[in-house]
Amino acid sequence: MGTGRDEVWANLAALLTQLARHLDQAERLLAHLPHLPHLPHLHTAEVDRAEERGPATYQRVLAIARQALGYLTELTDGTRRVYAPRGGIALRRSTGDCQVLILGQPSGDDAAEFIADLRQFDQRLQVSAELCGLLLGLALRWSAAGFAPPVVLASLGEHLPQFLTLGQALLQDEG
Amino acid sequence: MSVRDALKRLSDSVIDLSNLEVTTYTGKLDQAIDASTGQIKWDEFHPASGKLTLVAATLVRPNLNTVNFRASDVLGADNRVLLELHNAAVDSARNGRMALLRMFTSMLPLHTGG
Repeated sequence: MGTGRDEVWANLAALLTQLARHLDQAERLLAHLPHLPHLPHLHTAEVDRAEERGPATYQRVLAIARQALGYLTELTDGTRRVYAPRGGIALRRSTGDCQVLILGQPSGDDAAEFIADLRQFDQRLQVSAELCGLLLGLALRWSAAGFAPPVVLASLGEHLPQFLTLGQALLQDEG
Repeated sequence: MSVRDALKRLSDSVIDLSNLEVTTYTGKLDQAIDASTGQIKWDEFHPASGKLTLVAATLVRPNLNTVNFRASDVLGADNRVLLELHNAAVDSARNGRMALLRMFTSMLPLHTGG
């Protein structure tokens, strides 16, 4: 197993830890602001209810980002999927390698269910990666600005539609 | 370490991403599970371990050239399912790597614009 791969995954894990800390800091900041601005300009297909244009939207976006971080962290921790209704199918993916274990004689239906579950997980992973990329861009801005509230609010407000759209995709995948 | 430092470390190390290996094994429960813990003994799976049978292996090189191995004595007509599962795992492993790249590409407009 190559050390290069191990290093990539360790560095990704470190980055995700830093992102989680920035998210914590942004959450604390928002919690202490007396008034969060409304977002009357926010009109997207995904945000069509009035209450979703209110201040709670900021918290919702941070919650979406946290969920995405969780999915991506699963990648660095070593993804495991186990499916054993009759026979047994298990998969472990870590540091660029992937192992599959098949016990007994799984039926075509068992395999199809396992593959569908795996694809759904991978779709969530792709959306989560995109969300984490957005968050990373914001975190760099927040950090450079010393978490100045106007910068945090403006940058979040600017990208709320993208977060909400991707968050919706994440929820749909969770079924 | 700042988020910027963490990002730089990750960016620097991504170029080291090497081969992607996917291996599929089959066998019996007692060969794969640690009786004392009930956990799967993932780290003991090797083609030469003699406990489990290697069904298929795929190596994807960084340039996307791919080397495939199929155990012909295991993969008979009845074992189409094993190969389907192996192929799904190869797709999944590729997706895992794609996720990492996607994070970079979605970050780029914000990073350069900010």
